[in-house]
Amino acid sequence: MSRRLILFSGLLLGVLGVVLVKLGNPANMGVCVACFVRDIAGGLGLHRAAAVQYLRPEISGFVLGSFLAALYAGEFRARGGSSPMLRFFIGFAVMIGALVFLGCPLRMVLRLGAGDLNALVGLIGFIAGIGAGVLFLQRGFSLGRSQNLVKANGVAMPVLALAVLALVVTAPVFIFFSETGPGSLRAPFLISLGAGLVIGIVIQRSRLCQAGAFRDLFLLRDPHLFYGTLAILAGALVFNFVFGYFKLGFAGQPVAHTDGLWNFTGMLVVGLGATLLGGCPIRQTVMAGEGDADAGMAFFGLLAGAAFAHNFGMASSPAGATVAGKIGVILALAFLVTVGLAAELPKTVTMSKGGAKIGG
Amino acid sequence: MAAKQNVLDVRGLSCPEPVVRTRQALAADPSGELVVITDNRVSVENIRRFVTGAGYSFTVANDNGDYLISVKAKQ
Repeated sequence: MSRRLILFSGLLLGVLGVVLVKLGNPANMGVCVACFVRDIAGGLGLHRAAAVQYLRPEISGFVLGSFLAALYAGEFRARGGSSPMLRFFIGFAVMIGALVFLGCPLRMVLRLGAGDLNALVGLIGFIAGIGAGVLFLQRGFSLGRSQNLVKANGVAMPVLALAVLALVVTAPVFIFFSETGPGSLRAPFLISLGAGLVIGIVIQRSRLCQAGAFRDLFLLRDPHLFYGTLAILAGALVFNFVFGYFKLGFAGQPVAHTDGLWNFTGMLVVGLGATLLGGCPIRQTVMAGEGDADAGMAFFGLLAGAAFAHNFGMASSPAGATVAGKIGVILALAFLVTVGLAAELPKTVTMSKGGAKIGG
Repeated sequence: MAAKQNVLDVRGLSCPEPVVRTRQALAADPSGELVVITDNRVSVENIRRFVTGAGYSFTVANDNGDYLISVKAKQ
């Protein structure tokens, strides 16, 4: 059952990732958490890159779908307090890496499914970052324990998701909508929202996670989540062929650059940061909908990182990575390594009959 | 006299720490019985996949919102 669910979940994500392009979303960007959160930052006016401003309804859909699925399954629980500030900055660092590469781990797989070989370079960086994160986990890395919180903490994200939807529909003057560029390319509102809701529900149930896919493979020899990633790739490959989007190569790929070193390094940062957070950007977004306020902090780190990435000229363009972006990625990597080394093992109590042993 | 029973409390730890700690506890004492206390279903699923894959028996009980997972080496 759970194997079928993870495969279904991945296939659905891969297929919707291409179908949403057919319906209007940017090329190879049917679904991308980093890109869409960046667009939301632009839509709210947190950055002024005119080509990437739109309050993407898919993201609200992920949060609300997850919220509804968690409520239905009895898994909604307001919780938090596990290094919220660090999680914010790790999310921030992940976004810098993602915008230097130009995509989150999900878009990386969707790009790969469309023949973009730059994504293969990114994938190698992503896997290397996860490998580094696994080393930190093995030596006892932890962001500490969360605890149950009052319910309002868990409901905050779904309420904000609704507020963002209200802003898209009412389009007040202070909200930005790109007229050219990727931000102007959008599937119809209700279709975007519907796809987001379905994806949110399905991922909440299947626990699909791109970082977890490789992490569990390395750490536990457990391929369960990896099947989800393979299924995304398979779904995207088939539908890219069906719609004639598949184009193998490095050059001329949509919303991508060919600067291999920085594709690698950008995704290295994403892989390491996502492993330290305990999940990739889409998983963090879904957990934020389940009441996890720590994941919510990581999400706001992504949002702030996107705003700073564009305000400080760190985001790449099809022309390649910028000097500011390269500096940003190196600083992000140094920050993540420091956190990985410094975050302490919490005292877990292992009790044996006749006494308690602290540690381990 | 029951066999030695170790108790590992991983409540509040985020994924994948509960399963990493479980693996370390089993590696430290592979023959004893281990009880893992967790507070979320994702950890239960992860620990179940890991311990059953590693050849241990697995049972879980709900205790006021916490999950008590019992892991035993198969005879």
